[in-house]
Amino acid sequence: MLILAMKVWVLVPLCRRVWRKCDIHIIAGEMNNRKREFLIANIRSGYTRIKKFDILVRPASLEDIIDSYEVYEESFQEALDDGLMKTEDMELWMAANGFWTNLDEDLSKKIQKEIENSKVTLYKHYGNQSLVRKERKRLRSYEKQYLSHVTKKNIFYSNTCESYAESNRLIYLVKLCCERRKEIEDEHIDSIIKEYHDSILSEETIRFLARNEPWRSLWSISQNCQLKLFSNEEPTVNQKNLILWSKTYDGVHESMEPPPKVVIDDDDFLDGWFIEKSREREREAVKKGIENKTKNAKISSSKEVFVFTDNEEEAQQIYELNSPEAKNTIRQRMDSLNKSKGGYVGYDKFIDQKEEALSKLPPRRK
Amino acid sequence: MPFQVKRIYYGLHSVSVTAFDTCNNSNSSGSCGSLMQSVGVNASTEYDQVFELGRVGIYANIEGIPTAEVTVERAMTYETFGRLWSLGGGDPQTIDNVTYRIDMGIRPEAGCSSSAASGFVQCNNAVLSSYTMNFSTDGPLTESATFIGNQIGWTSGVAGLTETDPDDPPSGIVLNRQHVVGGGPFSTDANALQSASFSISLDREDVIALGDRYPVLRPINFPVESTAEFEYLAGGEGTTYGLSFNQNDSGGQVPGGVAGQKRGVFLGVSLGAQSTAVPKYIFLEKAYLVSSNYSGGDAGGGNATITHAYTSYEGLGVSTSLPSGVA
Repeated sequence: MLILAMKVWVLVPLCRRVWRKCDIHIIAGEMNNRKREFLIANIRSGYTRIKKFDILVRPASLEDIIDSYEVYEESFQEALDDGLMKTEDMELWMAANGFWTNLDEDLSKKIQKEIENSKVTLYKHYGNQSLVRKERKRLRSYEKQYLSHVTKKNIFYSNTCESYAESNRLIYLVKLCCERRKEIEDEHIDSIIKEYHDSILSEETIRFLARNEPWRSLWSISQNCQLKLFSNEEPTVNQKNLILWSKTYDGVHESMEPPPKVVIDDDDFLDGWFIEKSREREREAVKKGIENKTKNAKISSSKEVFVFTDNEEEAQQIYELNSPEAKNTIRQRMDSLNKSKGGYVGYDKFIDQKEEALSKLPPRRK
Repeated sequence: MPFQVKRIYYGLHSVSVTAFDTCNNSNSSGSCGSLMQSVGVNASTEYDQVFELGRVGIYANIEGIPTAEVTVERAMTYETFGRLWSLGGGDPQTIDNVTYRIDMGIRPEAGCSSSAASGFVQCNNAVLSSYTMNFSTDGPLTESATFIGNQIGWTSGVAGLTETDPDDPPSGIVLNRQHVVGGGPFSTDANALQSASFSISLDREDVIALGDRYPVLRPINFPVESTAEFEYLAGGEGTTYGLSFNQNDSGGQVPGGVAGQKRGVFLGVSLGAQSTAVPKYIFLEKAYLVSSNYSGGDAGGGNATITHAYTSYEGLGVSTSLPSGVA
């Protein structure tokens, strides 16, 4: 029974996330000042109100958290004694029974990559409305695909010792921090935990709050005067997320080349900007590594640079250094080689070499 | 609009340089594929335009032959010290008749099922155009060779070009700055040496003939110029190294002898006292001091250095013993 409840506990936040992703623009558009002020006040207070059961959950103190981990340890041991599997054992079992294989892992990485690429496309073409509409639709579909795929893996997580222990820890913590409460009946505990989970705001909502009023001005003031942002000492999940995103937005505004406001205000565009910047940094790091490997000026200034690598990952990083045109050239050459009858293609037969040679010719005489 | 140079980076799987005794690739005289670091290729094709009287447009673009320049750099072990130079015989007269084949395996992009090379670049009938050996305080001692040729292309397979098994133990110690023993113009002051390089440039002339698309011969234009450069820390009066810029005039210990006088310059590597292996040397015979430069020692705290450059027309040698007049 408890395991069944735990499955719900794991799946509900995931589903909520997708629903929220789909409706982020509606949420953002419809969140008026009052709603925002209410949410900010709620976050600042640190309390979680569960109206349905007339419960107020205070923020957990450090002592509470330490105590909760004793419960975790006990529950973990109990689950282990009862024959539940640890996460790593579960992963092995899933792989052995074909529930989550390396192919699934690869597919999950592939979809994640597609999501990233889609966000980068959105950022790069944020001014093109029709393309943005199409690409956003594609992105939402990738996200749904990713979620339904990952659910396959997570559904078994609820049957692990870690999940059981974490669930018990949370129940203990919520019970401990309940104020203004009647006696909590065991049959309601799942609903209370679900409501408690629902009180953790989605990333989209937190981001929206972090970059808008009334929080933005409060955040700015707090930098210069001793304004206490939160009434509690130990920050809650919402409070931590809000600070993290506020700092992130500060970083974006203060960056050397900040993106335009339209990009900052759109989560997908801004994610694309983050991904692009991170990829640029990675490319620079690899380039520096290659420069160190090819100190020979003649080689580093050659048109084609071959760098020795002993693994595929490094090879991929090297290929990522290539411009889209260079990548296209490699593909064209590979195609030419695959199509050639004798298994040999001279440089003079490559399309890129011909184009280069022709471009060097003087213009036609008149 | 001029054509923009777009650099292409490849992951390299394996490289091999094979030398052939004659120009028709009949007898292989050895190959070198170990400790390769990186390769650079510059290849281009030219078109000749043909016009005719009475025609506004071009009559035809005649395709020229591709020209390729392949530069290979490798780190050295004691056993393979100067391998790229000695592969062709170790002196310009022998190298004049040697051709090389350079094979490179390209590592596939991630996501391919195989980790084997996905394509091979092959340059056939190439000749050695220049060779350089570098001694630096940073990283391994390296040698690099530049080959030029016309027959370059991609091929789907090269027999025998395989990746070294990662479980195979390396067969030699990679030479580093600590393996350099006395040499240069001041054999007793090798400790002050910061960097050194030996290089030889083999200018070639294309001999073309009717009936052949590619040059039939690429003889070296003699005399061949070899150069060596030594960079020392500059020392003042009473310093350990005792090197000062005006030593050339002092009449005592001189870096290149008096003006016009020839001398040998060399640098050696050794595996240390524990090893029974004799030192190996790279040297120039009958070299002239062509320049001395004093630089550095600025307010920023940089060291002052003196660089001596030598030129010789007697070729470049790699050997376990030094000829008389060099040591």
